[in-house]
Amino acid sequence: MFGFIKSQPSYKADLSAAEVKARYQHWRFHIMFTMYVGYAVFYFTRKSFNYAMPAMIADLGLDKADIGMIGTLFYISYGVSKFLSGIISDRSNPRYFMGLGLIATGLINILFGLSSSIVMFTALWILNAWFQGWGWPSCSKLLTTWYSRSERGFWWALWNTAHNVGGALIPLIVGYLTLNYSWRHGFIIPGGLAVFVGLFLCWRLRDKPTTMGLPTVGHWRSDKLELAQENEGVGLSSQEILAKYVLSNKYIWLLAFSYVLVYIVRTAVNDWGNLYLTEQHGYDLITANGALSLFEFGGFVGSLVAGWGSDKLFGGNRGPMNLIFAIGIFMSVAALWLMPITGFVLQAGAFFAIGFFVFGPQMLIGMAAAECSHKDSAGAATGFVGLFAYMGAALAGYPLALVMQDYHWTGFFVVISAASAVVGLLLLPFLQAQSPTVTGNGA
Amino acid sequence: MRNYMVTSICSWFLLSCSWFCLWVIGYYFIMEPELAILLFPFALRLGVSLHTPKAYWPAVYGAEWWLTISLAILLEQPQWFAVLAASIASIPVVWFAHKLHVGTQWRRLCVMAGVIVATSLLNVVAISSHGPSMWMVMLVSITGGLMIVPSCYLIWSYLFQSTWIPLTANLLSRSIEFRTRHIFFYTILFVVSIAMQIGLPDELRRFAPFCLAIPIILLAFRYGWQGALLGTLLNSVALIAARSGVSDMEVTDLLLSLSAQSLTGILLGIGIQRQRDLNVQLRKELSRNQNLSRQLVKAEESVRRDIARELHDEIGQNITAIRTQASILKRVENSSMGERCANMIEGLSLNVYDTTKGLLIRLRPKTLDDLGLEEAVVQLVRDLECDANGIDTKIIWNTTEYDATELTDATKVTLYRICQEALNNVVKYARASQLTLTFTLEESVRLSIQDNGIGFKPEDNLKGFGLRGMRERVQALGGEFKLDSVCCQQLTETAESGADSSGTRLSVVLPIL
Repeated sequence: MFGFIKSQPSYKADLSAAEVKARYQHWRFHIMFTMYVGYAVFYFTRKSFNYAMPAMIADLGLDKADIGMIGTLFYISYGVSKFLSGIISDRSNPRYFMGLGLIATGLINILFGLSSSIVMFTALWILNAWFQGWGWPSCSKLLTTWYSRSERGFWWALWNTAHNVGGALIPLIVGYLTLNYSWRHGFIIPGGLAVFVGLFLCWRLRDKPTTMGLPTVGHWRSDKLELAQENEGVGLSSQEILAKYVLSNKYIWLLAFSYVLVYIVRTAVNDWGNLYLTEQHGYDLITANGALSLFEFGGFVGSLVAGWGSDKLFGGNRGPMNLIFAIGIFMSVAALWLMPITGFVLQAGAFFAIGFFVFGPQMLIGMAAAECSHKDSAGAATGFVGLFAYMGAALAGYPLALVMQDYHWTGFFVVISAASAVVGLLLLPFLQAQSPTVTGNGA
Repeated sequence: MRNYMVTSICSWFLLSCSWFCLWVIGYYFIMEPELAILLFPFALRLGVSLHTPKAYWPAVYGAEWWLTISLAILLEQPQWFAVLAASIASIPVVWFAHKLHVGTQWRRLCVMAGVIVATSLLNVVAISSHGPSMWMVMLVSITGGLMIVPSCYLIWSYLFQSTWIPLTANLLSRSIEFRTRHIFFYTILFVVSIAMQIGLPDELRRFAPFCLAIPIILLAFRYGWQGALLGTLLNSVALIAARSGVSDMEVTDLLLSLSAQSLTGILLGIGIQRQRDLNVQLRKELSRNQNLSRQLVKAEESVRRDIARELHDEIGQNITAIRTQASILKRVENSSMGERCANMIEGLSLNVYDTTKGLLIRLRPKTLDDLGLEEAVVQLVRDLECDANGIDTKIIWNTTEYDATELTDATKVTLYRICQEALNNVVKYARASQLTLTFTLEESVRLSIQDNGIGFKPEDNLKGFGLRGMRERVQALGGEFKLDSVCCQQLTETAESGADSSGTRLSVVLPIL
């Protein structure tokens, strides 16, 4: 029944060079556009709860602890789902995988908008987290098969900004709907939108180029590095690939650990930022959220700069750019912490800078994970580091709240500055491995 | 062109963000927004512009001017026009420095020092006309420069000057170099140094600045000036932490101690680096020398072998022919004169033959070529009549991975000659009753020759024993030569105490060539 989800076998059609070029150009553009819209809408159904929450508390009298628990459970199950669906998505057709995932989250959001009990909310939201995880592995599979190594930084960065666009639009949409109608509309309308866009994805997305009779992207662009990765470990079964290139790949583990820390910073600033501004600097909620939206905007610019820089300055190497941005994270967190005066522009500038520096590694680490594993395990590799990322996100929730209870905002900033300093340290062995001086003693 | 535009925009964003963050941090430091610009952001712009092509300077300076103007408007500080002027005035200086900023590390650091001082003077001229005092401007500019500009150089040389092996799946085959011990050690160092700055009781407070030297020295010793710089940055964090924590240090004191420790750190680091570089050079020269002498030994041996072969083949045959001719002459010629001459010829040619034979043996042990090393040693023992002299000789071969035929010629000859010299000595002087020769062929070749004779005095060690030449040759081949002997008096003592470790022991280790 679900046979159509499985990835079709590759075949080679007789196409002239011009035809191959035309098809590639056509589909690269359309797939990017479709993925972009699709992933932004994934964000709508993911974040709707966060922004409808104040109204739900007022309306239904929910407990804050319950909401915190739902958030933590969501992060954990989202991470797990990212990994598991990453493994599955490597063997399936992203066209239907991503599309059906989006339709499912849309339906769950609609159901969520219609229910009223906390048990129902928790169950539905965990289920939602499960289907949310179907988006990113499919996208990473598409990004690694349709775009080649030397240009991927730019394309991936472009796609990555869908995070920020979705993240910036959803508070406006949900805020408008809750204000004018009710919080239930804040779920039902994004949900309906998601179902609609999910159908659009099923219609417009495609599988790997080779399943459409095209040559691989490495061949088409004659990208040496890409070809090298395509030829790595040919003929292994998918279990062997998973074990060798993901689970026992030390570099993936290293990336995973630094991803935990990046996500601690990202989630901490994102989730606690407005509280910090209101408590410490006496902002009202609207201004605080306004300053916080600069975080997403900074992220938008930051991912583009990081992607472009890693392509152009370092020839497709993500490590050095990662290190520069890791230093930047530390600096910008320190700047927000130490800021001696209160002024909307200044605080907003600091949030912009944090967003700018955090979203560089947020994107580059995912990309590096896809690139240092097997071509056919890109989804599993990115899903694996994603699992760790959301462990970090979960750590930034309840455990960070405990730190703040005892040590106040100083504790909060000490934790995230330490986390950002260690990001840089964890990336050093990576650079060590990439520097030519150790070529001789690799064993 | 499009490429240039996009890269410019990207670097503009990157620099704007870093500039802003550094300004905020500097502001927190000295609580004076204008001086804060001179502290870190100016130094950042200086460091970055020194290390980027001039084509990208519009982006670098653009970021600075944009932020200066916007902050001036935001904080209502119209006199910041002077800051802008200082920034513009620095362009020709940096332009000039950029040209000189090439070549060796030492030269680059000198250029950096020069440009830091020059731009600081410019800042003094531009800014101290209003408000802040001259010395404060100077101090702030130099402190910032000392901390940030070398860091920019460090990042630039580490990230941009090395070629990176692309990250691919075949990285898998490489082992991770994650030095947990180092990281642990340096973390402890860092924590201790912060604790030292914060936690020292008031009576000991004046020792706190001295403690700053410890991480600098340790890191400089391990990693050269880069390490020293890292140490100074860690120290800066410690100092800042200390200031915001307990000590109510004046801003000037803080700045002074920051720049002093940065300066000492970098200078110390450079000094250590120079010593290390010299050391490395020396080591290289030494190994080159050793290589050369090894080559020399090999060349000598091959020349000897060639000459020996020529002598043996040519002269030997000719002498045999001469003797045959002489004996024919003796039989054919009946006159006594003729017979005498023939006898003379025979005798002389025999002399030549003997001399040549002696020469041949000295030039090249012929048995080695004919029989191989193992047999040649056995033959040597037989020739020296050890058994007849009452010496019980044992030869032990420990060969596991390969056997003696695979050794190079130079090694074989050296081993043979050592045996020859040593056995000669044993037979002539040692008065031994037992002799053991042990050959061990592993990663290196080891030979030990042990007898239970009377030994010799340490001061006679190698004196006139013909072994000195051997020692030099072994050392030239990169091996070790050790000669232990229990001397006559000691021998009697050990004999009384019943130990059987008497006699002489010669051990030689030769690398596989």
